[in-house]
Amino acid sequence: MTCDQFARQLDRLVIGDLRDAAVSAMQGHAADCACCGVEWRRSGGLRGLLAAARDDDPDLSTVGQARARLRGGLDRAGHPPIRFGSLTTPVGPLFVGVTDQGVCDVTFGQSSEQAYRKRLLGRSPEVWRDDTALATVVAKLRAYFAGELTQFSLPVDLRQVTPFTAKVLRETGKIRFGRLTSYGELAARIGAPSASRAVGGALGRNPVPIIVPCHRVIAQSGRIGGFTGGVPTKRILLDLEGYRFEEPALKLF
Amino acid sequence: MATTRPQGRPGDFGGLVDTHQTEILRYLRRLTGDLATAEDLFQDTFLKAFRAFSRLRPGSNHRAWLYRIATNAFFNHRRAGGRRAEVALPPELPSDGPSPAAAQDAAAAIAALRLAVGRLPRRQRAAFIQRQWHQLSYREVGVALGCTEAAARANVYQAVRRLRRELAAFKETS
Repeated sequence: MTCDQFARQLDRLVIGDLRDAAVSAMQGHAADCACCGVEWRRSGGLRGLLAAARDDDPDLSTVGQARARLRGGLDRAGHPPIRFGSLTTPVGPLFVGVTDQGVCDVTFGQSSEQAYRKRLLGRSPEVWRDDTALATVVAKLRAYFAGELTQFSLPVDLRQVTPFTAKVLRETGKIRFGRLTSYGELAARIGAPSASRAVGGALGRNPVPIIVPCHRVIAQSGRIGGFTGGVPTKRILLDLEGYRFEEPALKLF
Repeated sequence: MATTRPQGRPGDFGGLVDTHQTEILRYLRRLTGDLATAEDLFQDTFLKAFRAFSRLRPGSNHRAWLYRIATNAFFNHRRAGGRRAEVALPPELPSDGPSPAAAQDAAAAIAALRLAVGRLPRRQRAAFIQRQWHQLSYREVGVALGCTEAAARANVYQAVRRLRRELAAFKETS
């Protein structure tokens, strides 16, 4: 080994990239060459120092606090922990999710609990089934489908939707059981009479159907309009509330 | 029926945080030389990671990916905060012990090393810390820095060369 070769390998020696054979070759050269011997000892010293600095690192007892803060940060950023439950209804299996602020999700037609959980995990890092926490919500939904309950009186968590959509949904929440409203009328009620199309869009993004009764909003013409859970589901819900929409829809107004 | 908040599961974001939280906080602390800043960047890192997590391809290298997000959080923080003095404080000197003088020498040497690491250009510093103290492969360092494996290697070696130069005075102590 030449002094040049030795010098070129010093960085790799310090960082620990060399194989044993290459290290031995450098050691052999360092024993024969006074200049390289100095560099050899310095490199050894630096390696020792790097190891000492690693071992000297304070232990991170605060990592638990950092994790707790992360939980709060995720919550504030719109990713709160979500607990969920499910029930069987005349419109098929229904999955329901809640945060500490209220019901945040009602989903029709989800194929499995696993698929539902996976979908919620896109919104929150902490998602788990908690039938105890969901007991009240599930009981109210069952009572609604049994025709025994007409008003949910449940808090909803609408943080995931835009302010406009939230405004539309809050107004929608005031439509009583068995009453119908049109998209245009709802637009007028939120002070945006020309925004009936945007109102329709907002209702289409309702994360908590049934509880926020977007199914009670229909087209001006008396047609049933659209529904996130599918028009047949909307028809069943309205039927439950005393309206019969056939295909084609009846003229109501 | 599960009624308590579950631990993170492997494959979940929670499981990912469980696995890597300590090393990422440690990495950010080594990069910034300051625990409070490291904790802020830890929040940024995992918030960003959560938002990108669902788009992550199965089978990708989660660890290198997290280092990349953490490293970018560090770079962005430096840009946002301007060039701040980053002086790692020397550790507290032991008041007693078997050999106070030797302990003080060792502590001073470590403090000098930390200062020198803190003075490295940020890419070299990140590459060096990843490779030396976090055992990332050069391929992973490349992922974390968004560069080729060869460029990652070059950054690490340049960092070592600088440290060797700056710390010549301490090198023969062990």
